[in-house]
Amino acid sequence: MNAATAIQISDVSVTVREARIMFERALSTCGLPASHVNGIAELLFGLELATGLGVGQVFPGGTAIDLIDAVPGTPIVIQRSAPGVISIDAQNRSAFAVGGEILDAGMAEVEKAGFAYIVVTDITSPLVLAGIPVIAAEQGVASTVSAVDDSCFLSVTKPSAITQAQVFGGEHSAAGIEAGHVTISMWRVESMSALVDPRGGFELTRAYTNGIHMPAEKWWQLYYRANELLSPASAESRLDAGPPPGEE
Amino acid sequence: MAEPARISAADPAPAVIMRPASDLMQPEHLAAMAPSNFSFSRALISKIIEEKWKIGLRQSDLDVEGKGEVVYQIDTPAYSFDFYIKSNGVPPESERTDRIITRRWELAGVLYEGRITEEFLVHTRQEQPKLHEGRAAPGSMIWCRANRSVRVFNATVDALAEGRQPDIVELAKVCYIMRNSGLDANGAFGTRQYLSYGPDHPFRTPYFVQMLSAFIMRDFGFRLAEHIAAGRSSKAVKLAPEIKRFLGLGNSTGVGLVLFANRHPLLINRWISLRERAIVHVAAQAVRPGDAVVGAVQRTLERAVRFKREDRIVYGLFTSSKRVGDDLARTLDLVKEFIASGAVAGEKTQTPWSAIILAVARFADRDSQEVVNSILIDCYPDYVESHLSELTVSETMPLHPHLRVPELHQILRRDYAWALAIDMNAPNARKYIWYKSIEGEEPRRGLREKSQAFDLALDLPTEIQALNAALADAADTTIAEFLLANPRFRAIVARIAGLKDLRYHTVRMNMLAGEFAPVKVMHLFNVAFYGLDKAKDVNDRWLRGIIFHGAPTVDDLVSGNPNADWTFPEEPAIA
Repeated sequence: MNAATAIQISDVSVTVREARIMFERALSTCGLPASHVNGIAELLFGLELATGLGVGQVFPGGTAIDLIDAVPGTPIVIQRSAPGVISIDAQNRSAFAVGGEILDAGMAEVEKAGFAYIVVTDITSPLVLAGIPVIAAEQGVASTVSAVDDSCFLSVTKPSAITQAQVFGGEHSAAGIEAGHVTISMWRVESMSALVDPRGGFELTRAYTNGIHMPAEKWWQLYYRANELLSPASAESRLDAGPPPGEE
Repeated sequence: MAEPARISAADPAPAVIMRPASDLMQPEHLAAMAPSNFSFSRALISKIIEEKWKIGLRQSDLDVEGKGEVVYQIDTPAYSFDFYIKSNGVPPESERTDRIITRRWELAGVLYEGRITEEFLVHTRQEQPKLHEGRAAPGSMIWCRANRSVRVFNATVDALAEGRQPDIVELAKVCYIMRNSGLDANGAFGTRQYLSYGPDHPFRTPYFVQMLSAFIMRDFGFRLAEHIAAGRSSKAVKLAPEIKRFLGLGNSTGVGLVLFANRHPLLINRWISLRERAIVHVAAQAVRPGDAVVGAVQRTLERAVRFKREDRIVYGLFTSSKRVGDDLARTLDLVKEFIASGAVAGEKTQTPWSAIILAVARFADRDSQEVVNSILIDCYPDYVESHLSELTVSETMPLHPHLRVPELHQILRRDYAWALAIDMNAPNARKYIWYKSIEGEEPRRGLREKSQAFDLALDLPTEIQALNAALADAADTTIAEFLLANPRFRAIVARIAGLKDLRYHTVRMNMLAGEFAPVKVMHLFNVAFYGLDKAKDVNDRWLRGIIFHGAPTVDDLVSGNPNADWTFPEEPAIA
């Protein structure tokens, strides 16, 4: 066997398990309450899987977002105008704070009416909601999410086999949706097979097989941020695990 | 909840039923569960033997100190794999530890699907030494590490170099010469996840990829000792085959498995349910004294009695092997009674296993009862074999946002009465926090009053009690609507709803409490799930045991005649 040669790894293939763990840890370091971490991590994971934009939502401009004040706030207001049709005024709160509840509200409407059409207004970090289609698909629900923030219009849809994601930088006015608005359509499919890509199942299945490809710089940014959850090394801390000294 | 056994109506023996979670899911009971053929290491060996896998050393490039690289080749009926090992030699004594915090591994391995390439080697040599900051080469299924036993590896080499076998008494105090120091797979560091394997993949079953790696590291330990001995002396001999079989691979475990238990309720439920169903199935079997399975149970019990009585390990919290051996001897008497008279404890029966399980419960320690259960399961290998595929489980929990508040409240009071009963304001109820260190990401448990660490514990009793109070005051709405008004409960509601139709999903513990002993949960995973023998608790948070204790060796597989009935090994009688 020959001697080693140095190689440069510019792109990494991240596994589903790693991505989920790192999103959860990174969100925890951002001050998000434990009760919200898993749900928001799932949305960001779905967004990363569908569009590659998930990590960027935690690190806009390369700096970790401060979420400490994201959760407390005025309760969001829901109005139902017809079966399955609801509007949600998010009261200028962050999708990090209310994304899980919006997903739950949509799933509950699908259960009752067979579909949900949701208009969300006055929400910050709206692109986070574009992770919904991948997560909802795991529950047998198809969906389309169109979200607008100050810089782009994002449309993610999973009405059939393959999630389609489109990002239009600065073109949101053409879509007829104002910044801070999100529209969500959700409907239950007859069979889970309708959501399965004949090339290899859900995106999730393909991600399990092939990994999630991302630039190495982006991955390590997430990795090191997530590691801030770990405690510094110390001799005293070392005694909090393992056998007594001399027993190893 | 209880599921009656299918026992002949003519049989007067009471039925063995699936045990209630209120008993089984207590840490004390989970810690009593014994290895069985549902344990991943044993299930893998059965598969290797059944499918006649070919495993052998294809390439070896070691210096006289044992430093270098080797490659094993594994051929299953449909897939081929390579196992690459980098053998690094022994670090200074001050840097040796069997905790995961070490950065000096004497052996590092990678299981790779297919034949390794030069590109794989270049990538792995560069990345694996970095561990957490490294990325596995595409196609890598595991990164693993091992160290030599401080206590007996060198003594074994010395003996072999002198042309003799090592001292069995000293070996039997340890039972391994190489000790696992990390088996990172299922997505860690970029390794492939179980769910990426196709339905016919040999490693589709959880932990099979780790177990095969452990099996090969065990074999490499033997070859390494022989290689170093041969380099020292022309008189050197090989390690005796019966000693190799007796020696397993050492395995030490810290408290991280308690955090793992919290995160994997579906896996725990599936595994324990399968085992409980197997016990009920076996108990219901009608057999006659002359049936082959009765002889198999008798022989296995005889081996188990001897094994327990030979055991030289001294345990802390767990039952002594002497006590278990004595209980098994009384159980063996019941089997002999059935063979002689068709009766168990004086009662004629067609379903002796049911009668024995119930009789043993009256005199035996809980650990002994679980050994008996495992022996009975293992004497029905076809049943176990036909259910192994069920160990693969999706861990996605359905949301159930349409459940209504009263229904959720009923489920909470039914399944979590144990958590409602815990006094979280009692002294010591919140003594500890759980955290991970930057050192090897090692999970640790520290005093709350002294620590500033981020608490990773699942405080289930507090969450359940708070939710119970909130649900009592809530309107009759869907839980989706309830959560809009009470978002802080989203995680606990999702967990309760997602597990509502399952029985054995949650360890009934307050992991913050001063009196909670993590080692009991660690024992469940190491012994019952993984199949370790002689698991010794060093304190209440450290466990060291032996995997593949008595299992066939690679040489046995090559010979084409491995012993499939290898559990409870006898100490080799070599002068």
